Amino acid sequence: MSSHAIPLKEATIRNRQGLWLFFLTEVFLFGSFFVLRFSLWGDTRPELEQTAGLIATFVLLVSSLAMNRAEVAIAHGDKTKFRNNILVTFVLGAIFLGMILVYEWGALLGLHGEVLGIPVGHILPGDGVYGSVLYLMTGAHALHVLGGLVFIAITLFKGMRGDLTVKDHFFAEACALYWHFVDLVWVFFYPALYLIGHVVDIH
Amino acid sequence: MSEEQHETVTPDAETLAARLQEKLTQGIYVFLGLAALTLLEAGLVGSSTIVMMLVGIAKAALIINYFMHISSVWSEDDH
Amino acid sequence: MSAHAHDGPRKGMILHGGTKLSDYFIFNTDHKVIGIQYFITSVFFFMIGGALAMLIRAELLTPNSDLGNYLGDGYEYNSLFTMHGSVMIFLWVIPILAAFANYLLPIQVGADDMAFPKLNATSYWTYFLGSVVMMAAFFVGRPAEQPLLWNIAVALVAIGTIMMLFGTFRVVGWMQMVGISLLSMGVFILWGPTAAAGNITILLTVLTVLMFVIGGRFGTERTSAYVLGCSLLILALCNLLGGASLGIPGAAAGGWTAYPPLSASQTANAPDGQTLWIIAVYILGMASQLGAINMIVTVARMRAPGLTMGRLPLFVWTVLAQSILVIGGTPVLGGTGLALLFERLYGMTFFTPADGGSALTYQHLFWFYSHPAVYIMVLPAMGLISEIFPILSKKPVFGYKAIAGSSMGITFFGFLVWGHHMFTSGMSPWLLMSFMLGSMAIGVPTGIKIFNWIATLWGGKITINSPMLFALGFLAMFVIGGVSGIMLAAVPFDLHVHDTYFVVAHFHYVLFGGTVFGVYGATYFWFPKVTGRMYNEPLGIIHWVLNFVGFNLAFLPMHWLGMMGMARRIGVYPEEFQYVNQLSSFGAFLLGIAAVPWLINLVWSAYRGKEAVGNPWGGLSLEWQTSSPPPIENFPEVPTVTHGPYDYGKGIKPPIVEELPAFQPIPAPAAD
Ligand code: HEM
Ligand SMILES: [Cu+2]
Repeated sequence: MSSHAIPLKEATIRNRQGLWLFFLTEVFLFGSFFVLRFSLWGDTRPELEQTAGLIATFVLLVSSLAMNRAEVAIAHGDKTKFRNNILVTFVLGAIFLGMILVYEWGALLGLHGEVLGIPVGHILPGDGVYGSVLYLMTGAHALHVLGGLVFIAITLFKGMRGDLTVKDHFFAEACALYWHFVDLVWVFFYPALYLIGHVVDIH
Repeated sequence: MSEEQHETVTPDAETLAARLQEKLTQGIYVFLGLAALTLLEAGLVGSSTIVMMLVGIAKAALIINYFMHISSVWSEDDH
Repeated sequence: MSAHAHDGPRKGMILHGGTKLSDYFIFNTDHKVIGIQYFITSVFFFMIGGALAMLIRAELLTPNSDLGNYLGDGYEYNSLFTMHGSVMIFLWVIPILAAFANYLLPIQVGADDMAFPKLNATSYWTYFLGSVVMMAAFFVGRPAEQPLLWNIAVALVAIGTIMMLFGTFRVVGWMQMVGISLLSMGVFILWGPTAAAGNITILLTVLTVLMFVIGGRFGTERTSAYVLGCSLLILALCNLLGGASLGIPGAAAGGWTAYPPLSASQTANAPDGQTLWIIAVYILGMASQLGAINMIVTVARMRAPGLTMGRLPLFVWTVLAQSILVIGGTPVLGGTGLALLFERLYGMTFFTPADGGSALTYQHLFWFYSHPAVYIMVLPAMGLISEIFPILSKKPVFGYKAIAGSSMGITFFGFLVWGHHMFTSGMSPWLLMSFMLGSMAIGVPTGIKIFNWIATLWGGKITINSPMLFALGFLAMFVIGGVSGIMLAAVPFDLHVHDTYFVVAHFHYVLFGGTVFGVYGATYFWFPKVTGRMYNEPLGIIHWVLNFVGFNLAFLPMHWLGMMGMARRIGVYPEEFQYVNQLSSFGAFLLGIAAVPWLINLVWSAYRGKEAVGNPWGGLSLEWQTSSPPPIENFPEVPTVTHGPYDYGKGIKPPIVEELPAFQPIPAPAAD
């Protein structure tokens, strides 16, 4: 209801704080999945495709770099660099999502054999605690990636329309922060799912 | 957007470009660090949870500090 | 939204950003309107929760089963106490505190609104959506057996849709909202949750985020209402496509704790309503989280000049502490709920030991939220009475720093003691001991508050009126609840009385004797501020007497019952407990009646009460430095604070805002 115009700087600080608090709630949400993983799997894990996992992790990492470049570019008024980099981010994000779907959720989606020389996922959500936790964690993360892709698309659109300026580009900053946050979650999910513990036969 | 004009003047194009370059280079270094830690992690597969988490925390610290510039939450000036 | 031309604050029900009644039925971003929306909605659910409590106590008048037992396994009684507990906690206590926080906090920090007004309205409507889902549990799955209900449901959907569309296109806010409510009720009655319910949850999550984005950033005032309407329409569509339900009718019956494996199973005691219950709790949690973010940023960024952290009213401190608890605790409940939901619907395994899951993990995660949740439910009430004591005894609050700091101490320790709910669930003796010691330690900051309140009253010029009586009632009842809490924290004692009526007595002394007493007092205390009219004092005192007597009659005997070994959550009990139970039921009925004078007072005084001045109690904090009710921007101009909120006796004359100029519309700020 306020009719006082809030100075831009103040508005940005408020939005930024709100966004970080939102991340904090997300940390606790993902934290609860993390606890589930350690309490249900302990020091065991199911057999997952290591190559796919490592490549996907790198894809997300590179997309994070591209996002960083896009954000600094728009903050310094370089629109071309912004566009190129945010496009790269989008494409890499989509590839990550696709890889998770194929190499983790493959069995659920009815895939068999190999895709691009890497075996597709063979675990189903009904496969005891291993399937359940795997699908819960990758699913929750993938949903955030999906949301991020939409966010990125909107940012790209706004940037090209000229809504984002050197002075006022909080929208791009928020998008970048969100995307890095999604990467941050994966920083912990990747070892939790792929690396920690010894492989057991899940059936 | 907002008609509110800020007192800080927009730096001229050259300063901007120089600053941009600096930031971009920094991003690359951070990325290289993250990549190295990821490879280290993948190489440590099966080792203790604590070690894995420590590597994870190191990566997280890099991301939070450089990519998400957390200090901008409490410092008043822009990053 | 109509944010133009006001002709001064009209006293009575029509206030603030709400210039006409219908403004209260729409997506209104004025924090005062939102506070009142929260208030009315949660009082409505208090009445429902209270009615369920009356039914519980009626059943317990005799040792055998009176309500009938049609579905086997005592389902009726189980769903009664489950829904009583859930409604009281999720739809009454938490939102009523949000009502006070929304109304008071921005005024107390000298701001013109919350940091994110649209987000604020979004939280209210998210709560509204959650409450509809929770209540729908009573109806789901029944239509097949009852053609009448089926027809009613179809009619509701039809009428609701028409009203919503009409309201939307003709911009008639109340019609739109009423339409949406009718529609959603109808949809839920028709709906038996199916496997599609899982998809729906995901969808709702996405939509909630959408509401956040659209409502928060680009929104016009009605945007979120559209999104809400759309989400419900999509829900209806999912149901049409979703096929048959699990086929087990009825509301949730797994207790408010919803422990698996029962809650994860598909049996008569975990019917379709259990699915809705989980979804509802998730949505309600979302509403709290959005609210908490808003509160923290408001306090961090929007304090008036001169209002340092050390000059914040104590209520603000407690809301801050509560918000931190919400941010750390509530998402964990959400994540756990999602896992439980997937286990119910998709045959996944998390918590059912027979399939390799761990029921204990659920308990840990649940109590990691729900122990902090008890502080979420009581801290702001402590804040409310921390305002009442110094102002009504005209003394500086004793130990301001200690009271403010102890809120933070409670917040910190609150995250570390959840295990005391699980002493009988099995854990290592070392853990038992540390949880026991931690739980006892958390009594210290609480004790600090109690002693400081007493010291504040000591030697003060105490005004005995309704708010003061209720605040004193809080103090006395909360001490009883706190002491029995320390008893329960001792492992050997808890092993004896766990899951008996002793526990029921304990938490009602804290939740009712504490929070609800505090809330009652606060409704009187701030009544003149909110409505611009004075409540009726004799009626308030009658309310207090009935309430105090009824409350102790109802709950004191429960300590006895528990010590004698009567288990909680049973509708049929051994005969030797009957007399004490009858005593308790009698008290409960008295307690039910006690709410009547309160309601009459609120409604009657809002229209007919004596006109109130701006500062009837001589308060020094900011909400008393503006007119009653406050103008739409809260203060004619940004206030400057030069002293603490309770600096009595230092020669500061509390401004008596009798003659505060009637509210003038604030001219648009000159271009600068
Ligand atoms: C109107 C006065 C009230 C009466 C007479 C009443 C009575 C009861 C009784 C007898 C039970 C135990 C049922 C059983 O274990 O078999 C119960 C449970 C409970 N009550 Fe109340 N209550 C009242 C108000 C409240 C309020 C204000 C709250 C919360 C703020 C509340 C929260 C709960 C909770 C959480 C449970 C536990 C439900 C469960 O076991 O899952 N009650 N109530
Ligand atoms: Cu507890």
